[in-house]
Amino acid sequence: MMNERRLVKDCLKGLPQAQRQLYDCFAETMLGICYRYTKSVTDAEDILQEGFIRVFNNLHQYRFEGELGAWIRKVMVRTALNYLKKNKRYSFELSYDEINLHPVSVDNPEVTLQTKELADLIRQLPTGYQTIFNLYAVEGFTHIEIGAMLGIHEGTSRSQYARARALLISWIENKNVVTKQQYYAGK
Amino acid sequence: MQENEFEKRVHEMMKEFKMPPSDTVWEKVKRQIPKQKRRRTWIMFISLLSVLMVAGYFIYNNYKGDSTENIALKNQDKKTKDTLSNIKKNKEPDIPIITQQNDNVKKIAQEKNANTINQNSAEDFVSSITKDEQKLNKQIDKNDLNTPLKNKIDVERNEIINKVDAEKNIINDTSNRNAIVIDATNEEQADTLKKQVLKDSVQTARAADSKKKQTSKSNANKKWQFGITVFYGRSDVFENLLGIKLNSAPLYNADPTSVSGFPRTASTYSKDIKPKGAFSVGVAVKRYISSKGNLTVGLQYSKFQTEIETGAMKDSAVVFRYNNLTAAPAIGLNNYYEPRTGYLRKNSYSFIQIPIIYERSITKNKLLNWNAGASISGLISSNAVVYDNYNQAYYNNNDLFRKVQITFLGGINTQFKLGSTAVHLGPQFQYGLTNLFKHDDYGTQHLFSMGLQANIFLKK
Repeated sequence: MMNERRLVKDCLKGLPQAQRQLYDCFAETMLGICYRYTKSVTDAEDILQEGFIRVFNNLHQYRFEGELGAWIRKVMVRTALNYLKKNKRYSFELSYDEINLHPVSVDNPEVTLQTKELADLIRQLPTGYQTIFNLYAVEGFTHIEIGAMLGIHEGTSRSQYARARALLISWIENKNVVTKQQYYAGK
Repeated sequence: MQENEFEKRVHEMMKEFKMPPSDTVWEKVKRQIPKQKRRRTWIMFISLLSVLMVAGYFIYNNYKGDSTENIALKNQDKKTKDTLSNIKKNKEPDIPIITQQNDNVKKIAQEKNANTINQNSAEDFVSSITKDEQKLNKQIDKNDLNTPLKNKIDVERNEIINKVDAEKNIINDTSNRNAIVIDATNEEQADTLKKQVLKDSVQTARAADSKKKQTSKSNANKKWQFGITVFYGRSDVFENLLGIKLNSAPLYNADPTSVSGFPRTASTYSKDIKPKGAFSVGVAVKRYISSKGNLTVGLQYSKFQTEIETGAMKDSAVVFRYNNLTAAPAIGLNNYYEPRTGYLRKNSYSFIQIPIIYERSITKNKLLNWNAGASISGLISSNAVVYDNYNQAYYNNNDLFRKVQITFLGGINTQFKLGSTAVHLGPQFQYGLTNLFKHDDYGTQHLFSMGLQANIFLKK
């Protein structure tokens, strides 16, 4: 996109208007991504802030191959993963072992929820499930790539995803948003 | 639903999922991202250029010095060889034989021979120098310093100086060689004579040089030198001389009716004003008023810029009276800027300036100078917005500005020659002594700028 190229060049020159424009163009979409990886809006905004600082500091690495939005999205996802690892609240839950796994379902339900409701359901998943589900189902990474990104075995990623999917489907089928606390209390 | 249909649906839905972030996120991001580099690059380029020019000047001068010295050395070598050749012709090779203590006859003959050589050489030298000196004095006495003659004098003077230096060395060499054979008394006499002649010659040459320089300088000092002046840097607005922004928190969110103290006694006008580029171009004339000091008078166009962050522009026909002050002129506007943040605006002020600057050399060779002066400026246009706290709006109203400004100027510079021009290059600053606002009730703003100034004067 011609304007996108111009915008990037102006940002590289350090023009404040261009930087603001780039932020305005992508901030809402990127916050949507950050929101799916976290449990609170404040954390999502922290990731968004850190992600955009990375974007502006590394914009010279963008080679105009592919869409700018896709490049920024990748930066945001990686920032989110780092944030989860660094933050104790998340890192405590960010285990990918096979203990306490949830039952698996192979159903393919009709998703009739609103976008925000679906995002909130994804956020109800345990952090490990939530992360792998986001990476596979939403971002489109393969299990091999996810394994490499998270430092886990490919098979672990597959099984974790299967269980996350099953849990989410059960929630969608019930059309009853169960909060995480309620869910675990029920167990 | 087919396999992976669920994933596809989730992917599509989440792709479109957006959430508006709060305003604070951008504020935090903005503080940590790289600032504009373009102008810094310009300043770096100009600084580098000036450093290179100064370095080039030094190298050029050193090279010139070396060349003169080499010519003198060559002349000296040649003359030394000639003298040695003459000495040889006069049976100088016999000298080692004469050194034999027991051969009295040879010793007497050698002494006689050496004295003769020495005497002849000194007489020739004195005669030559005297002739040159007389010739030079005649020319100086005539005081006919037309350009061709001046050049001739220069050439001859240089020749004499070289000759004197070369002869001095030759005599030293010769004296050393003859030391073993010359009688102590004769040596002293000859040396004294030579030294006296040398001293006189050098003094004469220097006097001629000084006389010529003084004549030339006095002629140059009387003339006005015409030149151009260029300035590039940054400008800002200060509330006082030190630039401390007193009471600078803007009362954006305050209810105007609840803000006490109208008309306001403390200003908030400089809040959020950031420095931006400034430049001046113009012409100037320079005249030396003493051996070290000169006066420069100019006429230049100057543009100073600052940046202010405002809210969005609001298209609305309104009539505002600045801060609801009765003394302030009312202005009808079709649009204005709301307070808060998000939009950056460049405030620019265009002036016609008449600077009068006294410049004085710090070093003898005028390589480094300081300058100070004042300028009277007329504001010819401005698009600067002011913040009206009462009406909660930013807008442009040039009636609030004082049209005539007095500015203090100062700086240091280095002076060097570039072909037939004299270039003064160095950092310069300006501070507006008068308030940019017409009345103190409106607030206090003083323009400040700092950057690199180049004055290029054509030599006549």
